[in-house]
Amino acid sequence: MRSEQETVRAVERYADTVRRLCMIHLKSYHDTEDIFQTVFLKYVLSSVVFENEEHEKAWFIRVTINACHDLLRNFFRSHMVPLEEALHQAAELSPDHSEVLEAVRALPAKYRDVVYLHYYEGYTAGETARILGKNVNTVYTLLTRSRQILREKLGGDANE
Amino acid sequence: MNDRLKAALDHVQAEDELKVRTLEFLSRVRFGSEKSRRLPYRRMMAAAACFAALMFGASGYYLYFQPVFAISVDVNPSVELEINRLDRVISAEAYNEDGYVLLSSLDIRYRDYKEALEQILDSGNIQSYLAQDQPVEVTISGNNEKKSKEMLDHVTAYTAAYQNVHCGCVSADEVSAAHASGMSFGKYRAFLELQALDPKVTPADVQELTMCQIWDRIDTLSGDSQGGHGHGHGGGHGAGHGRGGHN
Repeated sequence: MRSEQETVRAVERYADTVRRLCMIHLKSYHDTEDIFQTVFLKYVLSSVVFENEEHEKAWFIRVTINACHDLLRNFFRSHMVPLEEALHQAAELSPDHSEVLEAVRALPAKYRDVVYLHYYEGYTAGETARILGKNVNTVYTLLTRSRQILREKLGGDANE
Repeated sequence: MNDRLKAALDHVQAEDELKVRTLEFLSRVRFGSEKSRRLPYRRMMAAAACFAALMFGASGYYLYFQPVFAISVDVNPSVELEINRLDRVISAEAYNEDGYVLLSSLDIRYRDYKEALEQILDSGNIQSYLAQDQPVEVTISGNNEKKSKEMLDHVTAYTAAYQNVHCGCVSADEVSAAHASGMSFGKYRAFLELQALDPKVTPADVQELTMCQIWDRIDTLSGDSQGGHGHGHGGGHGAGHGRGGHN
């Protein structure tokens, strides 16, 4: 079990990343809380030795994505959560930011992950494929398709 | 688009409250006060709620379809109604051909027993017997004596408006014996009275007799000397019935 000091440091360092992944995947704040508990509990109990900060960050991203997918697979969760809670922070976001996030959230889950990892975290297609456990070509296909969808929704050049 | 996406997601940050609550949760786990995760707990609660609802439904179903007393109506048609604790008719069974004809003309299942009795007594079938001055026997059997007496009082009061309707009460043992001999317990009660006077009589002998015929035989055997003749039989039935109180 990791020390309290390590835990506090990890929460401080990765809470925003976990929160962003929850934002693009989940519909309710309660689910976000559950994911936070699941991910950081896994960290506390895990004995993985991280080679560097990048490795550690990739671990958090992968665990969070898996936890979100697990939660979404739960039939009752995915069907019973009220939609009003969807954009918990929407009120604090500008209309432009809300529009972008809504467009990303409207994508199928597998597209959301590659969009987040590639466009936001700046991972290459190869790194994205490794984190998600997918084939690189699949990642390219998903990126191309999601670019098209986002371009249709948001207009402008999605490559920018 | 990259810039817009970056700018939008940069604005999404973990709330301080969320971080604090997560750290509190982790320290509870660390010190062993958090035995299980919130998610499984919630699932367990949901499962428990489902189970409770199922049990509630099952016991409700059981209680609804559990008869607490029965009413037998016998003239010539012989029918028995089973009543649940909500005073609803949960089953209606005919014990002879006339009874079958009577029940098939009525819609009494799941009705209040008073309404069911009213339907039976008001039916053309029973009315024709009453018009011939034939007695209608309404017999009660309950799970316990007190309840049976209570029901008898209710039914007696309720049927007081009808001429020539007589109410009585039998025990659960007599009901079982009646069913074993293929009779409604109302008719069986009359059979027992007849058998007391003529031990040679068997259930088969009375099976095809109408209630009026059974009472006529009883009256003949008892010499019609007991008094308390509530009602004479017209239409060639001869002697009146000597049945002041059968309770």
